Amino acid sequence: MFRLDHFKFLSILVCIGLVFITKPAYGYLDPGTGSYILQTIAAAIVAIPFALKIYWKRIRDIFSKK
Amino acid sequence: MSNKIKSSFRDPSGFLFQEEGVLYRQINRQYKENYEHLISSGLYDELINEGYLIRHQEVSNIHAQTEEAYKILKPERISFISYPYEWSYSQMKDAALTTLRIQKIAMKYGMILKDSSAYNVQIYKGKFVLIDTLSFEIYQEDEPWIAYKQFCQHFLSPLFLMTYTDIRLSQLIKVYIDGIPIDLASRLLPAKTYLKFSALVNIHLNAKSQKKYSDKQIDMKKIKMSKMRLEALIDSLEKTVESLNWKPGKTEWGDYYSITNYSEEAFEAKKELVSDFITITNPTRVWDMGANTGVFSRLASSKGIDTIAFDIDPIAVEKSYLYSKAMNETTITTLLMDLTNPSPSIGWSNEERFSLLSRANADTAIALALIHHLAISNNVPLVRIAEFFGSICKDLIIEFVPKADSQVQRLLATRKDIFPEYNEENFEIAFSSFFRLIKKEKIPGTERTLYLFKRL
Repeated sequence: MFRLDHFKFLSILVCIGLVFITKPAYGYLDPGTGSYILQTIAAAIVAIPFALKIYWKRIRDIFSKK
Repeated sequence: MSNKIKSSFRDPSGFLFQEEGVLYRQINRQYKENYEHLISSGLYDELINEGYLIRHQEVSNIHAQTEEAYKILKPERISFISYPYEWSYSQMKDAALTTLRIQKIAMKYGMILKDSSAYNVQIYKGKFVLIDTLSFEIYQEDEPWIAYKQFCQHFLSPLFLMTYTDIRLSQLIKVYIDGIPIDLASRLLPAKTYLKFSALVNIHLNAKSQKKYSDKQIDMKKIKMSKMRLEALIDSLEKTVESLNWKPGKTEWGDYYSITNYSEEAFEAKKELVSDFITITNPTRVWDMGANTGVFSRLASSKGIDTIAFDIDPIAVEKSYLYSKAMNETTITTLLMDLTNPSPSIGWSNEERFSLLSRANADTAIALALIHHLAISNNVPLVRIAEFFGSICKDLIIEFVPKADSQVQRLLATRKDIFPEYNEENFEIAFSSFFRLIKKEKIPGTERTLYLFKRL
């Protein structure tokens, strides 16, 4: 009985584990480590003015509706 | 014997093949989910409506080439494939912008482009379209853009180099099959580009980052980037490309038509003659060789004939393309080509991108004000010129420019005249090995003769 419970428990763990191992969709390209990382920095920087642009648009839309 | 198109091998999602002259695309089972999302989400429809993606039909699986086949598509066919090293400045810009705009639209539907190769977009009826329908993948939350490096190499490196260093550097794309390496672009760009944010980040810092991580093992799965940041990045790349501007200096051919030796009457007479000859040959496809800004090419394209205009000068090609855009022309494509060194076959086994000659499918070729440049400036024997034209067309409209012509006098002014054979008689003899003479007419007001030949 003890062994069967352990086995069931482990199986459930494995199944849950499999669900959470997300396989990234890499397509077939090699994204290049250096560029892949750099991209995240570039995006972080440009996200600031971009976010402002989006929020400003939203504010403008609210006022133009009124 | 395989029907597979040899250049279509990198992407395991599917491949192109040919059967009885018809082009098909096999979608493999591993791509099923992505394809179904592309269609059912509405992304395909929006891209078709915007004119950004090549249309296709789904056809019977009878055509399946392998067991992995999930579906077979029959895409609409592009009559002439061109390559990024044959594009003018604005064509390169528009190819890049089309790619980015497609990515923007795809993200609205939960998809992204898994590659951003410049070879995935083609000129179709005057506009750039994506021809690789399998380029889309379902967006994985918080994943950075896998095709970012490729976009920098295929589009940003060439565009920055053409803008800030030299327009001719687009030819480096021919040398590097996957786009111009970022570190090379970084070295070739002038110091002032360190002050331009987009070049600093996407090229210079990118190159340094590549070097830093070149021998490191990083778990890529741990690198995350929010969707909003990805949108910001794509938006920033789009603004960057839009803002790029090329200010050409003077090239040899930019102001060609203002310095020719044609009077207005003679020019009009020549246009009429060329137009008549085109009508006589009744072509479906025309190639205009050494077309400059395409004045004579448009005698064909305005009749609704599919026309490709080739010229060596980046300014001339650029002018012609910008005119095409302004006028919404759909039957003419102007491309960059050095006829003394036309595009070679390159890539794996020299079979991925095809030479100019292997893409030749013209019915009629036009060669005006050209022969003296080939024969005299470039020392090509007349019979070799005839052989070349014989391999690219069935009918040939060619202007013979004799030594008495003032333009030839200019060419001979700075060099020894080693061309005793360059005259009209030998011209006709040379071409008779490959063509039959149909008609010839002296162009009034000039020393030149317009010939109409039919290939033997």
